[in-house]
Amino acid sequence: MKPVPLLLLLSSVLLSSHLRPAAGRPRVLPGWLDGSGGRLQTQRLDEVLLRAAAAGDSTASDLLGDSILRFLQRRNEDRLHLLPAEEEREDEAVRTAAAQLLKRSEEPPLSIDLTFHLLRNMIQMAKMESQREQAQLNRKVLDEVGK
Amino acid sequence: MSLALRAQLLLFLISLSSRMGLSRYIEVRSRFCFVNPFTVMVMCVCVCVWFVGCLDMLATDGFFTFVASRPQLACASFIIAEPSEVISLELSDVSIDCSAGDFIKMFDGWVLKGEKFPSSRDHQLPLHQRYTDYCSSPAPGSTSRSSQNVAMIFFRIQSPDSRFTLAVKKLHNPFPCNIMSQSPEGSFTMVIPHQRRNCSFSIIYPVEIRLTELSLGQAKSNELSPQRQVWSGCSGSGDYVELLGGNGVDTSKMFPVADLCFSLSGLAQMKIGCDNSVVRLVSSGNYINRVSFQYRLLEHNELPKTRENSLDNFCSVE
Repeated sequence: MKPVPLLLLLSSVLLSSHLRPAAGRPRVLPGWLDGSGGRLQTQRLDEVLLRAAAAGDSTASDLLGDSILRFLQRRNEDRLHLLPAEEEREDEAVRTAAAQLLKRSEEPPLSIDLTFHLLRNMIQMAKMESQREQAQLNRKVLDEVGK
Repeated sequence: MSLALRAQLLLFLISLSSRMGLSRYIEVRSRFCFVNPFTVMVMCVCVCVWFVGCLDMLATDGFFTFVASRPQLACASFIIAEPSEVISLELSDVSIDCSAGDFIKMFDGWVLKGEKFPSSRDHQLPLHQRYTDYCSSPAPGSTSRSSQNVAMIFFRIQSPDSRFTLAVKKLHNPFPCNIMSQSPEGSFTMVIPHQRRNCSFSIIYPVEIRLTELSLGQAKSNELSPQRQVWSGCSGSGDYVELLGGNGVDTSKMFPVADLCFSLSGLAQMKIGCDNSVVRLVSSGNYINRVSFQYRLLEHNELPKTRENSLDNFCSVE
């Protein structure tokens, strides 16, 4: 293989193998979910989660998981007692996880509200694009084969 | 300039543009084919990257990348293939923050205005198995294969610069069941070979449907019994064809306009002036059932007339 094409191929492989670092941002929760709202909001959240699971909501109970459910039930029994500092930190982590699970379970079902008119137009445009791509491919193949 | 050198130069230029971030703003589309001198076979190298928007319709194979320039909270891409194909989806190069509420979910079918195609009556999987959630734990899902010629993905990306790439590949399906037609005109033959299932062919246009052949296993002869008429109900029959009309994509919420429960050798036609016209084949699994039909778009002056002052909330049928 000639050196120039080999150099180009090697450069292409090296350049295309570079990946951009993943972007992300720190998780930021609303005030009432990160514990700053106080114990009252936390108790409300516990009650909602427990009611949903007890009522047979399979989604809520699946999402909650057995360990979190048992923790919430235990907490509900002695709501009036103050918890030690080390349990507070554990409570914080579980509260955050449970809040996010509740947020997911309360999300409306996924759906797109498109009219049939728009849907038909989108299908036609996609079909035309597909045919255009195939025509270009066929032209390239015939151009190369014909040489 | 030789063929091989041109191919390599093109590949180099595209890689360079990707490295410099130009591909983020420019749609790069190129598919290069060349003749392999050793095997004299045509070989194609796809260096295609389509950049899709928040709402898109995809009908080709390839790699599709979504890059969030701003928070996108409700996005979807519909994917459609030919009737005799199914769709394979694979996610790669995903950089989203699941813990912050981002998600990518692949669905086996289409969801439109809260209605699902295929309906739960016609699909073999329960609803929760039709979703593949990239952010699910403990096993995140990044691949999915549809059961019919339509699929879609829902995604929410809140962080700018987050992205993902979706690989779409179409696979042949020898016995298509549950088809969404891409065009308002055409013909199709649906076969259910000894399977207990229901299959729908959905045409999202007002059309005239002509059944040209119907072979249902339960009929022993073509003689008509006096009590049964062509358009009478087939409830209780294990194998039958029904024509449905409605304004949604869920066949279980559409109105049956006609059904046939014995084999037919002649023509049977019907005009369905609804936004969605469906031919549905119900099969008990005891026989090989087959229905062939043609359909064409109804012109505006051909639409069946609706009765004036009618309280029926139903599209016109004739």
